[in-house]
Amino acid sequence: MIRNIVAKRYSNALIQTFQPDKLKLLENEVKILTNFLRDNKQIEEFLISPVAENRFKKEVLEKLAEGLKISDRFNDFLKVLVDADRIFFLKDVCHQIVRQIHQRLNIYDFQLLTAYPIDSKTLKKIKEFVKIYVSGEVHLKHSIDKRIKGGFLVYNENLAINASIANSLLNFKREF
Amino acid sequence: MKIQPEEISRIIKEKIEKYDYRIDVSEVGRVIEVGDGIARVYGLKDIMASELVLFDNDVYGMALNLEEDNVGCIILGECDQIKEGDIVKRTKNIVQVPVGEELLGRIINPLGIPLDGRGEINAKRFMPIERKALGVIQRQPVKEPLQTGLKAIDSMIPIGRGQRELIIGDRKTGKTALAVDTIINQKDTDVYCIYIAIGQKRSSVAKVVEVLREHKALDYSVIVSASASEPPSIQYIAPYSGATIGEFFRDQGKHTLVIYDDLSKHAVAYRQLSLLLRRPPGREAYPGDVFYLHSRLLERASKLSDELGGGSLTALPIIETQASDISTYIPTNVISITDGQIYLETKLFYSGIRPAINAGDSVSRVGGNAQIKAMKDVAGKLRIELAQFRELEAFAKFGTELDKDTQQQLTRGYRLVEVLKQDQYVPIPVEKQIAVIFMAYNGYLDDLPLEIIPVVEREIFQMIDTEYKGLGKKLLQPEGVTEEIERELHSFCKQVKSNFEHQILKSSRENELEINEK
Repeated sequence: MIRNIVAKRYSNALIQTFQPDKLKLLENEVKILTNFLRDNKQIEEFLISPVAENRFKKEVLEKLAEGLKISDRFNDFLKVLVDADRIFFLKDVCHQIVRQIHQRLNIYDFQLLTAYPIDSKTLKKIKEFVKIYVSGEVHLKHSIDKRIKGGFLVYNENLAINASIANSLLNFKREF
Repeated sequence: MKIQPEEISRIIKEKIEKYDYRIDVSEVGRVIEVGDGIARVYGLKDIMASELVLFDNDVYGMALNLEEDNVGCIILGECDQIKEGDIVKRTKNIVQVPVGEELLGRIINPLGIPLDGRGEINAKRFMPIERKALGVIQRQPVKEPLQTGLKAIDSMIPIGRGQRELIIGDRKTGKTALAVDTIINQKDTDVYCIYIAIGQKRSSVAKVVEVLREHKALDYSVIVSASASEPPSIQYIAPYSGATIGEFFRDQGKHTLVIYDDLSKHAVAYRQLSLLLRRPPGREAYPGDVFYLHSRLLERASKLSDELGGGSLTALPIIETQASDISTYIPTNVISITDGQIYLETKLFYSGIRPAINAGDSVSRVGGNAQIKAMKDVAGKLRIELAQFRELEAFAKFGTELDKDTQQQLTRGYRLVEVLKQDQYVPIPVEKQIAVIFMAYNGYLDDLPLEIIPVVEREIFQMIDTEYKGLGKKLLQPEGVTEEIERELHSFCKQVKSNFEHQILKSSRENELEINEK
């Protein structure tokens, strides 16, 4: 839980230093860094290592910024994380930054579950349906889950729209 | 009833054909931690404090801690099946309990689920367990008496309808017995009774139920049981559920008596929950809002204004002390909240004075207004008289020689103490109480041996029921003890005594004869 609190505070502070129209750029930079660290586990392990010295971590971050074309402000932010010994929470901070940017830009990230693959037309229809319940842009991340038997289930951390056959059967069972 | 398989198939077929395809849209969160009856949930962004939440497996919970990044919920049921990652749904409702006359005679848990095996409760109405106490305008002062049927209470520590009177004492001093007696005495009155068992042994609850059933008191009572084996969350909501059931009757213009047995265990359950929810501990490890826990509950006791129907909710909270120490945290809190206390003492209990009420430390701050006039006239100075007797009695133990007046005062004191003794589950109508106390207070029992007093008492009751029925009725009139009634009371006492002296004489002669024959 402390991870969440720390990540929220740092990401909130960083976002406040950006103009709203630059937030998309920041999101891209965060995503580039996250993808890079995902593909290069050793660098991530080095950055979060408690035994590695902070000056070396900063050097690595400097080089990363050059290579990944990360803005100076985001790079400075990463160095602040190193100085405050909070680089350990880098992954959570990055996740929170994207979440908070989406919140500010009224973008809602949802997980979509269906029992079978669906075409883009159905995906669009579901997106339109979800938009009824949220006032903003809807991003759906689709995956297959046979357990829902049919229909679909859309959810994020605060809202669940359950139009699955499994749920209908459960409601049907409850009536008896 | 025999169920035909074809019938079931037909119903299912109909249901499938007419099935209304429904999409469930709910605000949700996910369980991130669960254990000890507590779940921490991530999400549930707009949840209200005390809102009911639904876990997977149809287990309900209640949101208690709204924190920066999670919600602390208490689980109102078995938490074994809840696991990390489970979805938690908002219900947008505060915890509710069924209310109404359908509950009378039933034993339920604090969520309204029946525990007596007598089938479902078909209540038509539900009400939230947490309700705001009434304001000043909606209330009126306590003015009607709530008779307990116990001489010591009705005479010295009278309770009024809408009052909050604490029953406090060590274990096994007769606290529950006193409450049960009060319930039994409400038979043939317009008072509904709600007995809330919090953290009690199931055997004790069963015993109370049995006694109430035996005395036909269950017909106008509701038992809310959150026994010691229930999770602390259930124990925590129990008194609020009971108060809501009582409030329903009160709002209908009826009168309710609610017994919270006991609030010390309620505080302990709340302490457990608070510590598990990581709320900062204070004195005796109770959380900072433990005073509010009980004050908001007991503030719900009230006497409604006539415009609102004049209903009332009388609260009798019970507190169990340890080693007679009433200066610990919870007892002092509840003493300060209530309108008085009935203090039961182990020492008195074991010396045979039952109910073991300590008249000096017991008080009723508002009940005096509600006491019937005749009782006030007769027993007005009883408490002072008894207090003086206790002092004298202590002094007399030093073996000093006492003057006649002091001896007389001691004799009277012993008789008063004897008269105030009462058997369990035998409530006495108030007119009979007045007659007995009048007789003792005015010295008619002074020359009778102590062991004969219970017999005299029975004689008094019998006479009030038969030839002095009119006097009994007069004592209940609002005028109180007028000169005429006082004269009548004196002549009544003389007759009782003369009847009795004759009987004593007769029995002593018989005894003499027996001895001579031998």
